[in-house]
Amino acid sequence: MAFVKRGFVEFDVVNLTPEVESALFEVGVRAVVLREEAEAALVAPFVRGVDFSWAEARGRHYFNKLIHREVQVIRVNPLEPITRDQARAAYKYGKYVELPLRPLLRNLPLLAEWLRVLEPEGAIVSTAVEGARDVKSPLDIAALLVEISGDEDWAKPIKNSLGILTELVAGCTGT
Amino acid sequence: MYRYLIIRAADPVDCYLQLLEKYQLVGLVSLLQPPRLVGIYDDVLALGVPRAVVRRVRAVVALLDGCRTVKVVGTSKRARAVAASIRKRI
Repeated sequence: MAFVKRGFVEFDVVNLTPEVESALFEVGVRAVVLREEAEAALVAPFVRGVDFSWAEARGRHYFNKLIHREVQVIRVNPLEPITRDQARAAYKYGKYVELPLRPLLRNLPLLAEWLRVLEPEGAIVSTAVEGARDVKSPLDIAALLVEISGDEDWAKPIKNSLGILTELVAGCTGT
Repeated sequence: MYRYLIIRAADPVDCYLQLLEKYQLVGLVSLLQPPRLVGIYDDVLALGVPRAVVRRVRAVVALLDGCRTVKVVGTSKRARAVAASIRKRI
């Protein structure tokens, strides 16, 4: 019987094709969060908005409103860093901040700024996966975050991603 | 002490060249211990790097487009075997 020793979650999969799925499985991803329902054979599919509630903060000012809203995950605009106070407030109210990583890989100073303001315990990192080419190894991403921030804690959002997802799905009041 | 990264890449040759270009990022070790290329098998690149800098090299791999580390193994013999078994013929 197959036994999953450890697994990761990819938080933003745009379309799930068999190639994408096998590529994700190969790098150790065992659960994915999709934008809409799809069939999956190798990984456990979850759908954002159905299995947990989320909202997108397009700008820094919109973020403050969402902190008091009934959402579990706030997806931020990566090009507009929030302040440390905002990140701490979100953490205090038990909201996860989802940071889309893809545009930041080309802009490392901005990524470093994000890593300075966010709390490692209250963050989710996602790299949008549109095709098999976009798949990144979660451990590579964890290595990058640790190297850039110089803080071992930044491996946590990746290593504990299955735990975070379980918490989100369990805490969802359901629609 | 070397560890061997098995990297799946859309274009492994380009991936290897970019890694070589950025290898200086790992620090002074790059001058003492160069990376060891085990081989390129279709879409898989097997590359040995000093154990102390594996994390740095993985961070560089995360920055490259279309590359991902699939596995890390301890010997070049094992690296060759794993890379040959997971290659996808183009």
